[in-house]
Amino acid sequence: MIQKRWAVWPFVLPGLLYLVFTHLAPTLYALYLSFTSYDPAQRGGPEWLGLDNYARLLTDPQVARALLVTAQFAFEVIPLNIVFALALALLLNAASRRLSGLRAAFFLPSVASAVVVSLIWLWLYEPTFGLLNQAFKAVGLGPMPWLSDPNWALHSLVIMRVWRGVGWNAVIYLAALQTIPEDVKEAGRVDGASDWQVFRYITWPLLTPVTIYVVVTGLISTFQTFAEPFVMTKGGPLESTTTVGVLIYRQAFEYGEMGLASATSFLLAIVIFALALLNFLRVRRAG
Amino acid sequence: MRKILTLTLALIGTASASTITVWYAGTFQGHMDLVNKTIVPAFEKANPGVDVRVEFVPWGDLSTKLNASFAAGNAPDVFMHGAAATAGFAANGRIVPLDSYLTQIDTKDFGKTLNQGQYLGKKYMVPVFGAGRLLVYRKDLFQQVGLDPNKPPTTWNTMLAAARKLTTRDSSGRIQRAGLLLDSAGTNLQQVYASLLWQAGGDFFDDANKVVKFDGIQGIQALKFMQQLFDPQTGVSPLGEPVSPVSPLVTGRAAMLFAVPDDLTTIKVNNPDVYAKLAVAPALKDKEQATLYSFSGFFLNADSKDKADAWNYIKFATSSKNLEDFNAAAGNIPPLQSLVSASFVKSNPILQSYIQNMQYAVGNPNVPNWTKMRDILSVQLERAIYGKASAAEALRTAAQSVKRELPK
Repeated sequence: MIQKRWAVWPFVLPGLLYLVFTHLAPTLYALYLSFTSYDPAQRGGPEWLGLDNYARLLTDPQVARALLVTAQFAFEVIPLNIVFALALALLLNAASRRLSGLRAAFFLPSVASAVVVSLIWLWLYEPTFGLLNQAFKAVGLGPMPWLSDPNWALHSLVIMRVWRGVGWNAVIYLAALQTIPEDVKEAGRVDGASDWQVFRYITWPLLTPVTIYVVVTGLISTFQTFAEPFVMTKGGPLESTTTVGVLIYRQAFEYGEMGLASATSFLLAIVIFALALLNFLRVRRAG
Repeated sequence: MRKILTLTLALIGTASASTITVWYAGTFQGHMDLVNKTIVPAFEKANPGVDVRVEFVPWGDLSTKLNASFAAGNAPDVFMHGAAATAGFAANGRIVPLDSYLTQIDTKDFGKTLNQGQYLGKKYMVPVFGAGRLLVYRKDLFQQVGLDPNKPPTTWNTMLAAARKLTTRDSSGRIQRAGLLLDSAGTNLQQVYASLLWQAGGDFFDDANKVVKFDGIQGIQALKFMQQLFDPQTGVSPLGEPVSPVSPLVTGRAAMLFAVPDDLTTIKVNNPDVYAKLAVAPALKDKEQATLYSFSGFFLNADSKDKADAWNYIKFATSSKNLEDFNAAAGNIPPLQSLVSASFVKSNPILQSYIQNMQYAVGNPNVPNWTKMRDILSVQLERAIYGKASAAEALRTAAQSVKRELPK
């Protein structure tokens, strides 16, 4: 029996060590740093500050603004992503054989590097020679200030992010659609339900667990957004695309405030956890 | 036996060899070719057993990468940076004062450029090249709108008047060709503001770098003028112009802009026809005639395990011949007085203009935390030109934050 218990360790240990050294230890160190003042360019190491960094976060207008920008980004991306992903999944499900070759094409942007995708879209959004403005020009419309207008820049990033994420979620929805028994929908139709009613009262409720998953993973990934605004706008113009991720980068690596950046990271983690929890509770309450 | 002897000698050889790492700032192709194909091989040949590993870091990533590498303990033995970074690195003990090393070279030829990398009376930087920001304009466009291409603007008012004449708009009022194209964010915005501030007779700090002064009358005046340039109805520069891979002077998007010599060298290489139509205006004057100039150079890492070889590399790379080749490659301002009459300068009238205007040169303040202060200011300048804050309000907000960053 004892031998059996020890026998699992050689199998578990590599994974466990990986988790401890690459995830747990850095997280704990970052937690420690969040209570300190630490500039990597200075000698002497971290100095204990207690809760000062967290107190500073609560009164810093830059943090509040970055949280708002991030929230706006997330709440624009997630619903659009769900709508388009579901539509695409329904389309692929209805004509799965004829369009099966397209699945990989729709999925491709999700597996491409965020930096590469951002660079491609930077060219698409280029004001004079970019494909999008050229297309607008061809139909007699004026050039769009995609990334240069503070009122437009975040929406432009949203469009790109939705394009990038739709394929991934469509595959998840497609898998879920294929698990819904056909006879349940058939029973609805026998009772006189239209196609819309079958979708609204049978398909959509049965997709709820998948939608929760899509929303939660969407919240986590959009709230951590960094690469796209960093590559495409550097957080501008007028800080209109400064997400919390970009702010953390600035605090840590441009301003040398590693302690403050760590505290901001934990604040972001708390916000994501709270939103995800809220989503679970809301769904549970709704039955 | 012979094999063992060879192996032993090889091991001894390996043990005595040293490797030094050098970071160059910027990714100009001509510089990379020169360093990789000529300077480093020549140094390694002259210093057997020393292996030089070179990395070219884009300017925008330089401070970030250096901070991260200092934290990780693997910063390069030698690195290049702008003179305004001296105070920050020196105050943190990250770089070595070079005064004792400088006795080995002819410092007279460097003249005052050596003082740019000075902090608390000690010299930390050996200059490699200089750059200034001057108004560059298209002579053909001047002619097109009835301006004399041989009489460039010399004051704020003449610049604004010329820029207004050169600006064209489409039917919806959007600027098609900017009379004067300015960046509306980041370091470039701050650098143009710096020149205007000095021209208005102001400065960032007092002489001791203890008191913030840019929120004073002159600073406000400079920013108000900048707001005028960006005014959506009557201005001459669009807001939020994105960085284009081709110079706006080439595409015809701009008739005038503030440029450093490197920018013009790129045009000279890729678009010689447009280069022939360019001219440089003298440093502008409002109350004072002034503009931003800065030298960049080599610093020696205080944690370098091989300071002797690292210094030897600095000495070698800043020899008169190597500095001549390096500055000729990008058409930069050489730091040596003897090179002012070099053939690459004589054959380049635009570079000569930059050198002539060095008499009006002013540098960014050499204070610790300058990069952060510069970014704080840039954010507030951006708010002001977008009309989100008045000039006075934006500068007051920036000054409050900058005060916190000044050394106690």
